[in-house]
Formats: sequence, C-alpha cells, structure tokens
Amino acid sequence: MAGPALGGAPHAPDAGTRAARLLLVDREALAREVTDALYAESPELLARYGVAGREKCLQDMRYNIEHLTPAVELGDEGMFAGYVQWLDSLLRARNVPTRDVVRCLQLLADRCAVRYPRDDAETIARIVRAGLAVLAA
Amino acid sequence: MIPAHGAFLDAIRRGDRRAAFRSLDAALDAGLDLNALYVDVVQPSMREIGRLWQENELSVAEEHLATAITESAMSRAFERVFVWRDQRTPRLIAACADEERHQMGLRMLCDLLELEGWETIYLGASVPIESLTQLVAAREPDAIALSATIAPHIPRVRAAIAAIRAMDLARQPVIAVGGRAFLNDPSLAKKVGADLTASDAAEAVRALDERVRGRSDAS
Repeated sequence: MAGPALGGAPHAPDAGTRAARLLLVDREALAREVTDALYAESPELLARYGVAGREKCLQDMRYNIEHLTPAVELGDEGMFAGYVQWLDSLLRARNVPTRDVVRCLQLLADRCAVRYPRDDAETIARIVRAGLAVLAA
Repeated sequence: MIPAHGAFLDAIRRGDRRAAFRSLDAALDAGLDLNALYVDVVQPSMREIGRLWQENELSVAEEHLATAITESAMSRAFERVFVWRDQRTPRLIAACADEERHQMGLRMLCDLLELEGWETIYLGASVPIESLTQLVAAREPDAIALSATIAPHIPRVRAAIAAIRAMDLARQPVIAVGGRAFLNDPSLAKKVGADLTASDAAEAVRALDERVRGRSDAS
C-alpha cells in the first residue's frame, strides 16, 4: 500500500517532496481557487449551503490539502485514500453528497495541472486518483 | 464487551461526570486493573465518541465534554490504584509534537508505565519541537513517546525524531510512536524513524519495557 519509503534513499529532494512543498506553499491559494471554481460551476450550491456553507467548503479544502500533502510527500496512496473514505462518511452524515467530494478532488487536481510543471502535477494527481478510486467503489 | 464499557460510554456520551466516575469506581471495585480499565473500557469508549462525532450524532462541544470527563475519570482511577515506591527508572518523556492535540493515548501510556515503576514526564498536547529537544537534553530519558492522530501531523513527528536523533546524548533514547495515523498503517513508524509502535497503551508498555529494560539488563 505504501509507496517509496521515506528515509530509505539518501535525501536529494525526490518527486514527492518537491510536489509536497508546492502544496504546502500554495495551500491557501489552491483552497480558494478550488472553492471559487466549484461554486462558479454549480451556483445552486450557494442556495443549498449558504454563505456559511461556502466558508466551510473553503475550510474543508484547506484540510483536504493538508491531508494530501504528507501523502504526496511519502508517495502513500493508501494514506490519502483512507482520509477520503473518512471524509466522505463524515460529510454524508452532514448531508453533503459524495458527488460534491468527488468534484472538489477533481478540481483540486485540475488546479494543480494548471499551476505546476507536468511532473509535479502528475505526482499529485496520482495520489488524488487514489482518493477518487475509493469514492467510485 | 465488558459491562463497564457500556456504562462508561453511556455516561460520557450524555456528559454525565458523576455517572462516569461511578462506573469506573464500580469497575475497579469489581476487580478490574488499570490496564483493563484503560484498554477495554476507556479506549473503546473514546473511539466510539469519535465515531459518533464523525456520524454527526455528537457535536464538537459534546465530544470535548466527553473527553474532559474521561481525563478527570482517569486521574481519579489512577489515584485509587497508584502505590508509592522508591523505584523511578527508566524514564520516559511523552509528547504530542507541534500541532497534535490528541493526548489521551500518551496519558494512558504514562499512567500504566508509572504503575510498572517508570518515571514518566507527560507533556500533553502541542509541544514545539525545539522545546521538546531542550527538555530531552535536560532530562535524558531512556525513552520518548510521540503521538500523531492525523496524517498532516506525521511530518512533524518525523522532524521531532530527526531532531532528537541529531542530539549529542550519552545514550540514544528508544523512540515509540502511536496514535490513529500509525494504527492505520504501522509501517509509518519505521518511515518516520521510530523504533517501535503499538496498537494500544498496554501493548506499548510491554514493548517499551522489553526494549528499555532489556537493554539496561544487557549492558
């Protein structure tokens, strides 16, 4: 389940570490971009969740990126998949459907593809896909 | 499931401090030791409280109340069973590194080690790494226990371990890690540079006793 072992190889910054640094630096901007994109493509969300809901969405996006970052750093798909499963059950209990979670993660990968060099975006996208796979099951 | 589990869980779920105290009193009176009380009553109850929060059955305030009551109840139970004795070795420092706030597992570990004759230095939640290493230099523990509940805290645990390993100490402490993040994936313990992990406080006591006391016997 775990990817390349951190601390196994001598530490020239590997792909995971490099991509994780991008996420760490850009967390706030990415969270805002994803939330803006989600509410732009689905204006009905504002009616459903209100302004407070939009703020919660933004906060959740920050959490998502916080959880994504160490999984990307370690190349650990299982770590992020476990988080996404937990998040989905938490949000379903609060009447947020799985499709909204899926869309958030897709938009996050999209934003990374726009912002980052292809290698880094793919390093991130691989972990995001592991999260999406859990929700597709 | 032993009956005390249900009574205690019911009490903390309702936020009823007195009922929680009574249920642990009754369990001790019935002959349960602190190991069993923590591992079979308190720990599964707290996990259930966490699940209830996740399922939106408990609010954040109710979850915090349940946690606060549980910590008081643990103090009370510990006082009832603790016996003074001269032995105060080995020594362990327990801390949540940086952002981590889930301290209860470490607290259980410290209480149970105290009963085994260890001296424990329990720092609780959110200890900055530089501050932790200063204390490690001053107190020279035989072992250190660090906890992480969620994945975002893993890099800080790794940084704390790296900082400790880089210290110029007379002897390197045995480093144990625990918490939900390591429970989900025990292989993370090695990746962050720890010597061992355990799935609950009682198992951690056994593993630490073996590693640390075994080592000093051999030397």
